[in-house]
Parts: sequence; structure tokens; C-alpha cells
Amino acid sequence: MRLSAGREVIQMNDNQAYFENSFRQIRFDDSPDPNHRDQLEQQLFAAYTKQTHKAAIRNLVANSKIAKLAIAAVLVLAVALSVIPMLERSATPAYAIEQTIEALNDVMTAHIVGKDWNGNHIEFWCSINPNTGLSDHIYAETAEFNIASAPHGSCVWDKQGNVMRLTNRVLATNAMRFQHIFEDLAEGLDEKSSISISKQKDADSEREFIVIKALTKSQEFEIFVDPDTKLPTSLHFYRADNTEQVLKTAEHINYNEALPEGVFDFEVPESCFENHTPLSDPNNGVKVAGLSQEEASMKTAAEYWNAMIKSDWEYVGRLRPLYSAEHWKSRHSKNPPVELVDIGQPYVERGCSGLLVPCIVKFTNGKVLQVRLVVQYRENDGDPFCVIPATWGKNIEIK
Amino acid sequence: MRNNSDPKNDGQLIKQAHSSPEAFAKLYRRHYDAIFRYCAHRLFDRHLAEDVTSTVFLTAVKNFRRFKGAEIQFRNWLYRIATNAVNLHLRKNIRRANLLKMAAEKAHNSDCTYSEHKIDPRANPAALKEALLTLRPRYQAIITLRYFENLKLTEIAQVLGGSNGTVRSQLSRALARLRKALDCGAAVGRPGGNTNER
Repeated sequence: MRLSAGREVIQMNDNQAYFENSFRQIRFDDSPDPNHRDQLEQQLFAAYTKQTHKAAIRNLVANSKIAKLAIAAVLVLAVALSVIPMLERSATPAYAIEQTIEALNDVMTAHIVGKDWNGNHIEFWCSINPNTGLSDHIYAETAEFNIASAPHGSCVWDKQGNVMRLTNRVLATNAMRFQHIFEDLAEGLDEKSSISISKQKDADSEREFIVIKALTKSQEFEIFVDPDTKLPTSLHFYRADNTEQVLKTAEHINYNEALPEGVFDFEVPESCFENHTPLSDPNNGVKVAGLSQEEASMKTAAEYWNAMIKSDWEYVGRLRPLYSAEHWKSRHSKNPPVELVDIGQPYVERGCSGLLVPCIVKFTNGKVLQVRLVVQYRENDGDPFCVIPATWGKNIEIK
Repeated sequence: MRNNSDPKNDGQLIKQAHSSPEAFAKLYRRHYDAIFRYCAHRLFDRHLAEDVTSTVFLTAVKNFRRFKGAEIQFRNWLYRIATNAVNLHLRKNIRRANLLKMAAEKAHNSDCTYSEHKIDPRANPAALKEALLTLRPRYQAIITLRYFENLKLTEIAQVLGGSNGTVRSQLSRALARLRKALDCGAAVGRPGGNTNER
């Protein structure tokens, strides 16, 4: 062995000497191309962002309450599956929410058809930027609004008031976060929340779906997941206060469909009034310096109802600047509020672009309703003010 | 013959790169040239080298979350990914290479004998390149890392796995086979390597 090893060393030294100069003489252009280096850097940046996003999802799923609850739910499902014959069990493999989150990562476009809380038809198209996971283009059509949004600008046509609102950026609404739906849902969970995963057969199609049900403080949601693609096929959101009020439903969701030509284009209808930045105009709203956001929201709600009771439509128009004073006057003069009975504690709800302030108000016709106002807290050069962009959900009659 | 990546400061940068794309971009810029050259020296084809370099760094991004090392380990990790990517590329081309080899053998209808076909690599670098490509991928990797990238045997062992002794022995065998291939003039089968060496 020693002899053999020694021979090997001698032979190696010999070969090394033989080749070392030869290798140096190989002429080959090995200088990197800066163009390729720069192009690859851009690709890497995109890949890094996507990877970080995936990692963030994994961390979120692993660390959040949804994970613990979902793991428990999956275990329940697994136990249920174990009593099903082997054939059927293999056809319906165990499911974890993370599979749906991963599947959503590959979605490029989504087409959603559903209903709003008044039962009106909603149609929604979005294309998703693979680098950010956010929708960079959306088109939404509801009974009240048509919305087209792109990175260079957005327009919202309010059909009722025939007002077109324009911004020079993409809309920052939760509708833009379709791929992030589970992260956003997880945000709403707390220690009192519950979540369950089960299988359910659709009566019409006889197809079996995985159904994720969760109950949070303010919302109850049901998500039907296709067991093959792991993608949600429908979503149902309800108020979690025994009113069983539907907040929103997405009855059909189709993925990666070819976008209809010009779906994100939008023409300003003739005679439409253009309004550029009503909510961020500091001349609108109510000044709330020195108040917390909750106090400011309650003050804004109180001023809004008192202005309505006094028929001060100019002030109502300033507090809800998406419509004019005339609009509010014609809309409420037949049955104006007569008494502000109570203002509840403001709270946050998924999908709402401000604090929700529940108000109990008595109207001229004698009905007492709970109306939930959305109040936005804004600042202009450090000077805070609040505006009311909308109400939220159907009003509930208090008996 | 060069190795411009400086792994001395990678430790801090690697920590930052786990949460900052800018830090990862710095790491990338620091190591791009070395990895590109390694791929180029393995494949002797600029365009293929660029493709494989892209694969290397995209794989690195994908798996970076799992990389827990620091400093010099990062460079060696990239070399390992590059070695696997180049080897994969070569293996994919073996079938094509074997067909070429069979065609060449039929055309010449001759077996090599050492005395008849000896080539002096110093006089014919092109033949040396072709002969290198006939070696099995691991031998190619060892020779390239040692003589083109100037890595020490310990570093090559870290990149490819195995002990210093194993790498030393494999380097010896790789050089012997390279010499034999040159003596034989057997530069057939480019770029897939010679299945006899596998």
C-alpha cells in the first residue's frame, strides 16, 4: 500500500508539472458580460422578493394562531379520513391551509363573481404581479361603483352620484390583496376565534369540497377549496353577531383565465363630475388635534349625526365629501334622523379602510337603526382630521 | 486562473441578506464573476456558462433561507451549487455525446494507441479543453477548482464533499486520465463527457 501510494504521489507530481503550464496556456474569454450580470440581478431581485414572501407566509402559518387552530382542524380531518375506506382516503389526501396559500402564489389572474351585502351582483377581475403578490390591475363592477385601477392611476365611478374620483396611483384596498387573503384572515383571529376544516358535497354538482370555516370577533367566513387545485372556489363572509347578515360572497372564482381585452380600461362617462382627492383634502372633514384615533372617530360620528339632525347639509357634505351637500339633502330629507341614541366603541374589521363606528340612530319614521360608519383618520402637515368615506354593511333595525 | 470573490466580509453581509434584498444583491455582485468563470472553465462556452450561472444564483435565492453558514462557506456553497448545475447539464448531454462518439468511431474505425496519437497539451490547448470535457464531471470539477479557480485541496473538499485525502487521490486520478485522454487524442464526446469515465 505504501509503495502504491508513493507511486501515486510521484505520478501526480509528474502530471501536475505536465499540466500546470498547459492549463495556463488555455486561451478562453472568461470575462463576465456586465449585461448578463445586470439582467440576472434583476431576476434575482424578483425571485428574492417572491421567496421572502413565501417565507413570510410559512412563518405566518407556522407562528400564528391560525396554524395552531388549523393543525388541530387538520388532525380532526385526518381522524375522520382514517375511518373512510382506503380507496376514498387516497382520493382525498390530507389537507393543510398552507397548500392553498402556496397554490395562490401561482395565480396570475382571478375572475370573481359574487354578491354584496344588498344581494347585488359584483364582478371583479384582477391581474397579480408575481413579484409582489399584489394585484397591479383590477376592474370591479358593483351596483354602486365601477372601479378600474392600475399602477399609473385609478378611477372610481360612483354611479349613484355620477361622480368620478381619480387618483394617480393604484388603489390601496383589500381587493388588491387577493393572494394574501389567508394572511389577512389570520390577522383577524384571536384567542376566542375558532376554525374548522371539513369535507362537504355540493348538492348541485355532487362535487366534494374542502370547507374552511372560521369565526372571528367580527366576522364569520366560509371558504370552499377545490381538493384538486387547492384553490378557493368560493368565499362567504357573514357578520358574527347573530344577525346572519351576509357581508360579501364570491360565488365563483376562476383562476388564470385570459383577461378580456380592455378590461382594465375605463372611459369617463359624459356629464360626469370629476373629483380628484376629496378624502385627502384637508378642507374637508373635522379637525381632531389632540384626540386618539378612537376618540377622533367617535367625535366625527357624533358631529355627522348632529349635522344631519340639524339639516346642516353643507357640513354633512364636508364630513362625507365623496358626495355633495345637495346629494345628502335629497337622499335624507324624506326621513332624516331625529336622535342620536348611542355611539359604540370603534373597532377594526377586515376589508374596511378605516375604523368602524357603530351608531344607534332614531329616524323620523320611528325606526331605530344601527348604522356603522367608516371613519378615516388622516393627517395634513401634522394636522389630523377625520372624514367618513362610507357606511359598512346593511343597517340593522333595533327593536 | 482567478478568484476575485473575497469571502472575508461575507459573514455580516450574509446575516443582512436574510432580510435585505440589497444585501443579497451585494453578495451576488461579489461572487458573480468567480461563479461565472468557474462555469465557463467547466463548459468552455460563454453562453452555456451564463445559463448555468443564472441557474446557480436562482437556486441560491431559493435555498438561501436554509443557508446557515458564514464567510467562506457561502462561496463554497455557491461553488457546490455550480458544480451540481454544471454536472447536471453535462449529464443531460451525455446521450447526445455518446451518439457523436459512436459516429466518430465509425468514421475513423480505429482504436487509439498511445504511441501514435500523443498530443502535447502545451502545443495544443484546444485538445486539452476537449480532453478535459471527456473526463467524468467530478474529475472535471476537481481540476477546474484546483487549476483554474486556485482553490486549496481543503476548500475543494468542502465544495465537493469528502476528505482532503480523497480529493488528493481523485485529483491524481483525474490528471492521469486526462493525460491518457490526451495521449489517446480522444477528444470525442464533447460536451457530455465520456461514459467510460463514469
